[in-house]
Amino acid sequence: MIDRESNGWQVRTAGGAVLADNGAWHHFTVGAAPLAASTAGASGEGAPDLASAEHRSTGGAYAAGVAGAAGLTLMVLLAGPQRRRRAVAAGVLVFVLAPAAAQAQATTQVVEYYTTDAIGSVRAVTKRVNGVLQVTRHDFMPFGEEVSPQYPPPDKRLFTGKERDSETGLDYFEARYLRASAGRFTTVDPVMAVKDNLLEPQRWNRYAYAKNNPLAFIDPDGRDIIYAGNLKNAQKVKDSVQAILADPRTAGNLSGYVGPNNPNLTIQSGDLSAGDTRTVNPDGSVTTTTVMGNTATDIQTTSSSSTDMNGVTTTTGPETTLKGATITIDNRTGSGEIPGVMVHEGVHAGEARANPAKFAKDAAAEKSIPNHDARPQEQRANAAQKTYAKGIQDAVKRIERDRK
Amino acid sequence: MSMRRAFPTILSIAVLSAGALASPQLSDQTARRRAQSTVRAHLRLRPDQFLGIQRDEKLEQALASAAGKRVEPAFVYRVSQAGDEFKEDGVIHHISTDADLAYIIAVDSAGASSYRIHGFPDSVAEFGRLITRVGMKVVSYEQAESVAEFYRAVNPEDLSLTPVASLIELKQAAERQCHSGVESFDTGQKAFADWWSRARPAYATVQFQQRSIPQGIGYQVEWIVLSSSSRQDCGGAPLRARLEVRADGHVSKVTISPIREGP
Repeated sequence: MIDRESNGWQVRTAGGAVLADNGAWHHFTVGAAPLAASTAGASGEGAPDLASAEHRSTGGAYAAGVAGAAGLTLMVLLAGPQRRRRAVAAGVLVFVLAPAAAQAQATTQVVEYYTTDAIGSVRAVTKRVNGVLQVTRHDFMPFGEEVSPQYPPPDKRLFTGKERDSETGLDYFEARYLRASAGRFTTVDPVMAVKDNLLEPQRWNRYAYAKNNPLAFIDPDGRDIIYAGNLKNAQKVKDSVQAILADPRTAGNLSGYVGPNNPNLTIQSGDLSAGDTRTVNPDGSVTTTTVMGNTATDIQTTSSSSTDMNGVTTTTGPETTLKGATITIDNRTGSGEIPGVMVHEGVHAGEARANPAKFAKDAAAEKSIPNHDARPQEQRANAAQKTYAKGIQDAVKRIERDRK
Repeated sequence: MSMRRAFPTILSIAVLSAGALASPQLSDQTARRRAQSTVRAHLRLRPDQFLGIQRDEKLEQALASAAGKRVEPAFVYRVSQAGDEFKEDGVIHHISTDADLAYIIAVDSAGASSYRIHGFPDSVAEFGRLITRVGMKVVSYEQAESVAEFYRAVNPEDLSLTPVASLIELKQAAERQCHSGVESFDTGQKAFADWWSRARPAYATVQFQQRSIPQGIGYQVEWIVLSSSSRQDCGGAPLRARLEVRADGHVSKVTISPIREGP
C-alpha cells in the first residue's frame, strides 16, 4: 500500500507496517509474500532510471504501473522533497504494492483527458473510473491561484499546464517555482537580461511572472531559451548560456532572446559534417576543418499595400524581423569546447537579433568570399571567441562547482 | 478477325497495360519529397523546420552526357537548410552562418532508389552505386572527361576541384585569394604582386588544359587546380588533380600533387 504522508512518501504492507520511507533506495521483490523490503543499497548503485517506470494518479489513490514478474527485484527511490518533486515533474513515481493487491491494481489504467484554455491551464479533466464518467473542474485567478481548490489536488497539471506540488502549493516551472498566491516566482530569474529589462520596467523585478501580465503572456519554463531534447552535454550548454548572460561583455548577444516578446532561440545537437571545409594545401595535402557549431536564423521580410476608395495605393514596409534562431552544436564537439562554441554562435545570434536586415544583407554579400574565416561576420565571432571563451569557461566551472 | 483470334491479342494488351500501371513513373513532386525526406531523416529535423530543395537539371544533363544516353535516375536535387521560403505576405530568409549544409540527392524515376551523392559521410560510395545503376560504358577520352566533369560537379569528396584552364585564370584566381581576408586593398595587392612576380615565370610553361590519358582499362583525367594560400604564397600554388575513370564509369578518389614546375 502506498500512503502519502505530510512529510514524504511511505510504502506499507496491507497490515500497515512501514516498509520504506523517503530518503533511501529500497529493494522490493514482487511475488514474495509478504512484500520484502530492504534498505540495503542506499547508494542507489544499479538503480533503474525512474523515468523507465510509470504510474498514474487516480484521485488520490495510486494504481501501480509496475506489475513485474514474480521474483523480479525492483529498487525504488523514495527521496526527499526536492528529489521527489523532480520525479513527479517527469510524471513518474515508482512503487510496488503487496503482491496480491499489486497485481490486481496494476491492471487498472485510467485515461485522463485534459481540456485547456488559451494559456494552457488545465480547466477540466475527464476520465472514466470503473465505468463512471468523472469530470474535475479547475478555475484560476490571473496569476494561477486556484478558485476553490481541492486538497489534495486530484490533478497534477494545473496552471498553464505546469505541475502543482501538492505539499508546497508551488508550480514547477522547470527553472524555478511560482507561488501563485503571491503572483511571484520564489527565486530570481536565472537569466540576467539587463539590456532588455532596462527598457521594460515590468521586468525590473526579477521575481515577476510574465511581465506581471499573466493573461497575455505565459512563461514556458521560467526563461526563454529552448533546449532541444536531443541536446548533448545539455547541462554544459545551459551553464554556458547562463555564464554568457551573466557576463556584461557577452550578455547582449543572447539577452535579446529572453523575455516573452522576443523571438525564440533553440539550441540543439546535430550533424554538421556536411559543412566541414577541406582545404587543398600548396603541397597537395588536404586539411579538414570541422564545424563545431552553426547558427541558423529565420529572417522575415514583409510588405503590404492597400488601396483606398479614391484609388490611392499605400504601401507599407518592407519590414524585416527575426522570427527565430537555432544554434546547432555538432555531435563531434567535445564538452570542453562548448563554452567557446557558445560564445562564437552567440555573436551570430546577437547580430541577427540586433539588426536582422543588416545581418541578412551582410550574410548574402559575404557568401561570395570563399574563405569562410575571411568573412567579416565570421571574423567578429572568432575574435569574440578568442577574447571571452576563457572567461566563460571559468564561469562555467564555477557554476558546476557551486552546483556540487 | 474472329473473336477466337482476337481474344488473346486483347488479353495481351490488357496484361501489358496492367504491367505498365503496376510500375508507375515517379513524378517530380514525389521524387522531390523523397529527396527531402532523405535529408530530413539525416539531419533529424522537426517537421516544421525549413528545408529548401531545387531540381538541378544541369546535373541531370551532365550525368546523361557522361553516360552517353538517357539514364536513370532521372531526378537530381540540391537540398539545403538555407534558402528563401515564400509566404503570402513576405519571404523568410533562412540563413546559416558557419556551415553551408548542402546535399545532392539523385532519385530513380521508377522509385526504386535514391542516391546520397554529396554532403553525406558515405557520398563517395553512393556515387559508385549511382554509376553502377546507370550502367556506363566509357569508350572514349571525351566520355572519360565528361565523367570527370560530372564527378567535379557533384564533388562527393567535397574538395576544391575547380579547374584552372589557363595562366590568366590562374592569375585571376590567385589575385582573389590574395585579397581575401586582408585588411586593405593595398596590402592584398602588394602581396599579390610579390606572388605574381615569382609565379609568372615559374608557371608560364604549364599545360593548363584538361587531358585524358589511356590507362589500364580506362583513362586518367588530369586538370589543374589552385591550392589555398600559404603564409609565403598568398596566391597558393597550381596543383595537378588526377581522376582515374574505369571503362565501367567507376572512378577512383581524386589525387592531388604538386606540378613539376615551380618557383
